[in-house]
Amino acid sequence: MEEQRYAVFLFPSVSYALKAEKILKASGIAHKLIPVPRHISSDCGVCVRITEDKQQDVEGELIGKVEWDKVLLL
Amino acid sequence: MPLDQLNHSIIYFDNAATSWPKPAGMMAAMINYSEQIGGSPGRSGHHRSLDAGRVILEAREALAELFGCNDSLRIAFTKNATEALNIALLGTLSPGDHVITSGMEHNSVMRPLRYLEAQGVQLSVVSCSSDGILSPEDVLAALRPRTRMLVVTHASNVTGTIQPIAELGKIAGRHGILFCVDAAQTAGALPIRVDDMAIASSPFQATNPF
Repeated sequence: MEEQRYAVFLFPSVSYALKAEKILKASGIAHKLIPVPRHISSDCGVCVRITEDKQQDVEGELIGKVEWDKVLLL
Repeated sequence: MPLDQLNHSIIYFDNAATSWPKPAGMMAAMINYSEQIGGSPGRSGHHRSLDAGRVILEAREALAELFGCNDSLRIAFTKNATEALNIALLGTLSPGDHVITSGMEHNSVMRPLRYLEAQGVQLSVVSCSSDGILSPEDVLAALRPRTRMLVVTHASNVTGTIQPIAELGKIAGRHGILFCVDAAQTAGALPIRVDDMAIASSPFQATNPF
């Protein structure tokens, strides 16, 4: 079985990540708020993790509502 | 006399400084935070911190809806309206900029503006009519090429005069200047639509109107 691949959305602040979480909850897209992985940044923020195949769906939900900094594959 | 009986006999006249009694829901929320949540919002990624952040997000979204603000992330929480006004004025105006205000402003607007004036900001204080209203025509006449901001109280805590902020906002919008409304006396009591009124910043104090 192929290993599940994930992507993370990074935001300018925790408030943005929480707003994104609220939007994704309402849209039913599976996601998880996780601490920003240490190899990406040493700050103590959070990011939104999704499965890689949902990246476009998530961008479609967030665009115009919440800015994000970047999307990285884990 | 026990305090609860004493309170029933009080007619409270100082709502322009701070409202009383506070709503029961406000106190319940503070107690819930202290007993059940406890984390610092935005401080780290543990679940109590995130729970506190979610409470604040809900407050942001509710306030954005109340004030017709398209983006709840543009709401900033401060200790009080005076601090918010100081941030808006001192953070925006630089020597050489011109700012217009009315003759009916609270000290929390006039003092930072007088301070900025001493630093080289050009200040026009437009007189109001005998009933305390700031005339949009007089504001138009005060505009200069370097006018950066119009600062107006929505309603005076001294006279109760309500300024025509929708009309003033249109002038600001048309001339591309920032519009700062001191809504300490009106937020939650009178309708405010920041996007429609071209309001760039509208400090208010949550303890006053609610």
